[in-house]
Amino acid sequence: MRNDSYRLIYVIVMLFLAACKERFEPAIDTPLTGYLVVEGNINSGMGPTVIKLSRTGKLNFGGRAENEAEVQILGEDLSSYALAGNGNGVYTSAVLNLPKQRYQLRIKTGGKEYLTELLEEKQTPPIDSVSWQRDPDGVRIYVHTHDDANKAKYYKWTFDETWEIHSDYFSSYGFKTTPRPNGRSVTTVFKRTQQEEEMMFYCWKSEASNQILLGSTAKLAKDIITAPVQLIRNNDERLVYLYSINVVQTALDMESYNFYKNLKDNTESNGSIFDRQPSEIDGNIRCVTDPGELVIGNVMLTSPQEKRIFIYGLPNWRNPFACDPTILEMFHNPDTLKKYNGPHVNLPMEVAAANTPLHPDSALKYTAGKAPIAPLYAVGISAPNYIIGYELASRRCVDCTVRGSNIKPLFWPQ
Amino acid sequence: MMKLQNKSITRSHLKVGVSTLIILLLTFRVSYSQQQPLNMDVDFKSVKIDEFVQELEKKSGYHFYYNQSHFDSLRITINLKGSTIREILNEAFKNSKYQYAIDSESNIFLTLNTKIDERLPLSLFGNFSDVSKVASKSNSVSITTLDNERVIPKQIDTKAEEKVYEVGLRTPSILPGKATISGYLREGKSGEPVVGASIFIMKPRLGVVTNENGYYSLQLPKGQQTLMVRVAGQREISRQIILYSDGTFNIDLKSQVISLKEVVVTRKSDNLAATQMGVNKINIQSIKNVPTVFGEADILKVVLTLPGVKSVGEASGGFNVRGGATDQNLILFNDATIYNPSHFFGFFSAFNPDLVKDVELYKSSIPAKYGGRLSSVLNISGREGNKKKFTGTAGIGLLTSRLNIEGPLNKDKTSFLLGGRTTYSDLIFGLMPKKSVYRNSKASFYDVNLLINHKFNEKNSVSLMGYVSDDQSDLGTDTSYSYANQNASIKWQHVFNKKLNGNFVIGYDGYKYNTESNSEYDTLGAYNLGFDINQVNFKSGLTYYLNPKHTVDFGLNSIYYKLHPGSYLPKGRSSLVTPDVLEGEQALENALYISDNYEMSPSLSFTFGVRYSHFSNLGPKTINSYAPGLPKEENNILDSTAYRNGQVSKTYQGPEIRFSARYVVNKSLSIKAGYNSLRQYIHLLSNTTAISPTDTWKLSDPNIRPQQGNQISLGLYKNFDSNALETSVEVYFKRIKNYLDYKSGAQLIMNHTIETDVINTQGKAYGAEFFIKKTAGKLNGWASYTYSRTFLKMDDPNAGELINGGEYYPANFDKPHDFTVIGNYKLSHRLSFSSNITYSTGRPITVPIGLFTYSGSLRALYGDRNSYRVPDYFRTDLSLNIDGNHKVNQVAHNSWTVGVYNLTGRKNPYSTFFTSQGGVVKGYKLSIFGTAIPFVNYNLRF
Repeated sequence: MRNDSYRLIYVIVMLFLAACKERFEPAIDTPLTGYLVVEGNINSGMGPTVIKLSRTGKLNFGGRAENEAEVQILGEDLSSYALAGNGNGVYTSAVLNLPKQRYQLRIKTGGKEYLTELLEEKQTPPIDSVSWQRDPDGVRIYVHTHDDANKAKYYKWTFDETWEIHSDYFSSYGFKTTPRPNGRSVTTVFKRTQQEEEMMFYCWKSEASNQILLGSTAKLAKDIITAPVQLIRNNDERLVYLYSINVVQTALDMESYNFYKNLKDNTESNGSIFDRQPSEIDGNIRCVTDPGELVIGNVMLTSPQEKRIFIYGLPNWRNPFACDPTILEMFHNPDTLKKYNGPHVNLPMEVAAANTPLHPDSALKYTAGKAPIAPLYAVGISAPNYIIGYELASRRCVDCTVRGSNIKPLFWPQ
Repeated sequence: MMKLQNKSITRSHLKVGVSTLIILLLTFRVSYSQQQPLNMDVDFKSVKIDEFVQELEKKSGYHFYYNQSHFDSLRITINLKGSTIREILNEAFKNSKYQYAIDSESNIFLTLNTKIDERLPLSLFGNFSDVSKVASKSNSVSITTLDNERVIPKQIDTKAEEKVYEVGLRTPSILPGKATISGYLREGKSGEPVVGASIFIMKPRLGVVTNENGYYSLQLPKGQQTLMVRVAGQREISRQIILYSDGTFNIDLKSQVISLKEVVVTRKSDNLAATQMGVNKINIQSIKNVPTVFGEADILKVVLTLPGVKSVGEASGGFNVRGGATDQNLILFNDATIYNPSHFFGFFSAFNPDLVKDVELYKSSIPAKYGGRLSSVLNISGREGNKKKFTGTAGIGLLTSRLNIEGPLNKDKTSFLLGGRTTYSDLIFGLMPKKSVYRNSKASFYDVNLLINHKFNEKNSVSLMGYVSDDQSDLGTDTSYSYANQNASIKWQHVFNKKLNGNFVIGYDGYKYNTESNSEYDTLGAYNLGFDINQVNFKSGLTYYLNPKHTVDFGLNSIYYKLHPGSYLPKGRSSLVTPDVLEGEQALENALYISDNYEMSPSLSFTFGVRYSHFSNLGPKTINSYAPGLPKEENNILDSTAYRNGQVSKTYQGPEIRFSARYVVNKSLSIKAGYNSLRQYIHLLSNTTAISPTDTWKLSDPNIRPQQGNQISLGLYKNFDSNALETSVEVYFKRIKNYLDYKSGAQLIMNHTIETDVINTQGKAYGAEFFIKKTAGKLNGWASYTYSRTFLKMDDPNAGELINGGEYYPANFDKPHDFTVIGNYKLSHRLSFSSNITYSTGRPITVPIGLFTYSGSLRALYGDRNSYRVPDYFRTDLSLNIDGNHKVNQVAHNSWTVGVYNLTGRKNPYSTFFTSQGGVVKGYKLSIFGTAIPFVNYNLRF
């Protein structure tokens, strides 16, 4: 509702063409806070428990990962399970399939011990469906879920999006630089295999949600909810070829819901005239060694539910990707050609071409930002054709790895 | 208006009259007929006075007035031919003690011993003509008799000020002792009462202020007196009276037609003489002269320019008085409590400026008759309808238009005033570009006022008041908001006797809001959220003029509250929303008050008041009790008690002290001091910085204690240049107890156990206010500088996490330096410039001191509350007021106001916020009006 208020005021402000929103970066000398931040849940189901540890940081630097911590899941029955750190602040357990009972999380780091209460398991109902709908603004994606037991009531969603991207041109050739013993190097052009061409043409991009998505059915007679999770604006590159979204649902207890609501209000849904005062963010982790110490984070015992959908490229959806469409022609130096290539060289055309080094000036000029896409032939009347140069396109247009990854996700359709 | 044919008008008198900018004149009629000497023949032989008079009246056409008893023993014998009336009377009363006087209207007054000065227009004296009618009917009432020593020395003059009015039943001579003079002070043209004017005499200094009905009552030594009348912002006027005995003396004021828009802002017209301090009174003309955004005359925005009044920002609906919260202001409009005084969530105030007469803000010496809020009373007095003729006004602005009509329903007895205002912003949204998501938005508001006054007689009058304001908006969101004020009251004004008069009001005040979701995808969760507060109140206020030294006010105020704190209902058939209705709240608040204005000596006076307030929260209601000493949390609930209908669940009561004192050092310097304590039993639940459209009210109950405040203040007032320049310094210190703040993540809407989410906060505020005002001249206006601080502290041991470690922190509206200049410069009678310059320290904000990563994004870690400030605020507004011509008899008068709001285009930050977008934290500052905004307004008066 407050968010709406914000929009309302924004409208009034638009209406009068008077208001303005400007960047504001006050020069505040901030203390090095360094409070522990704990993110993640104990997985009560068939998955590993992943806990991220970090420290709050100065305004200009952001947080930093907390390594060298000892992270354990402790059972009510005094069982304990250790999590292993990856050196990046991420601590992962084995797939534990924990016996049903209460558990708590213990963290020992920086000479202090941090502990949650013993947590009750919160059952997360499965996602009924993820749907999408096209409207004037773009494509809206919704999650639909319900709980027959009427117990879930509070929900949090995260999602991962993956979408396919294509280069503008297949790049059939590449530059190859070979060092020479004299300290110089020589650059030649080689022919790519089809697989290599495709590795530069088909790529995938992924992004994780970075907003807190919450829903509540606490005020409804039935635990059933439809919530918007994502809006893909018209002509976004996500929906040009193939798009996939995996929505992860976690049921929350009321305390956790309030924690996330508070965090969202403090850090996302602000900027309105009716802003609330920023409030304290803490959570359910306490520092045992120093009870006054602020610890940020909320840990639950639950197993998340997921649902993935695919959306194929939509009609009337313009690909927003634009690289410099100029095609350059790069010709070999005639002297070089005489030496390595031409009808007089008794080698297959491609082999001769691959042996032909670039003039150092050309190598300097083109190898950095360009990529050869097609050969330029000298068309002989009596003799066979031979390659005297290449068409070049900007590297961004031919190499999708500049923008994404060429490793096809496992879940991607063949 | 005045037909003056008297030859004795002198040039110098006229000059005095014209040079007074607004001349207030008594309405009276003067017509001097030229008497031709008439020669008669008379022959009386030992006739009694009756026969003598009858004969002469028959022959001459003169009218005689006399007291028969004085002439019982007289027998007249005369025989004259061709004689004038004077010759006949001279002969008849020769060698007797009888005297006569002849006035210009052929009236002859016969007196014993004392001669009336014929230069006085006897028949025109105040009530004299009435008396003389009575006299001629009954032939028994005494006529004017004056001591020889007290013969009025004044020359006949056109000015009402120099007339002599007689009050009370004439006695042959002035009896010793005192008598009470009382009556109404009214505008001559419309018959409206003039409120808050001082009526006083200089020697000995005795005075009184007219009450809200324009009524006054003053006990004075009998005899000749010069009664001074001082009306807000106008020059003093005087009336010569001769007080015989208790009597009525109504004063009609008439402002001259050429009167211009005069900027008049006074902190009480008699800033030196009044006992009260910390009072600002502004009349509507001054309000209209202050440039505002969009050119809409706006009462609340002008109130914000007064010293000691602050707000968190330009679009904020609430205001803070001397460190008080926005819910601690009692806003009264014609005695009705207005819960939400703004339209468009604070962009406009909900009062139609054309229907308002003046605005009084009490921020220190709050009279004992007001109570229920801690910080201030904003008393907005509406105008009364014109009792003499039909008139109206209309205004067209950029966003709103208004139309008002008024006139007599029954001439001189009953009048009505009907005004309405509406916006056409729906139209503006329609004009927006097709692509805009707001094109189909809706936002509208209106307000309607109706006031009917009926005067039964001099002692009884009744007024009926109705007020409705309504806001609807649906701005590109899938939620629609609406809220409305509804008020109605009936007021009876009664004069019991010369010394005692009173007002009795029965009224209903209501406020409600409604929020509906119109979401297309989420029809399952479609809801309708409602809240309302209703109060029925009875107010009686009596004033007893005990003696010249003591004026006693006393009365009883009762309010019955009925709140529906929230209902959350399904909307539409497919909605799965569980109907959830919070239990209603009821309470009865009674207050008895008495206050005495004691004029100990001409220089020293006191007002001592006590208001005893008593508040009972009533059932039906279920109330939780919590384990003592533990935080009020749901798992600490010990028990819950269901109270029956009408059963008292908790009573709070206590006295409130209202004391102020004034010492006049000399004619232009006075010192005042005051102490006030107040209690407040109703709380606004809001955890936003500005008042938001979904804020709700809550009554005190066993778990929510009343707020208490007290204030001590001291002021120094000095006038210069014969009161044309008023200056003052006031300092104050104030404490607030049990103000509500909220726990982190508190849910204020639809909370069944709200007491678990609130925390008691203590506050302290102090400051110094410097004020200078120029009331007369081509250039007039005021300037104020305020240094003030406001701190809050949350030290409730049951609060859990304490804000800023339980230490004092600055409140949101703590702006230490505040400087405002309001100026008006008249170029000519039809052209004037107004300007408004405001500077203040930026308001405190809470800023991030660090960052952390959570849920896929960097997020801000906030530091201590309100430890940083937004950049300072500075704004200049300018407007030009152009009046049409001033011909009296044209059908309609029109005027234009053109101007620029925020002339320098400074982007004054309203707020700053740090929001996580795309994984990173971005800081922004938001300005509401970040550029110069030109405006134009057209006004019509008919």
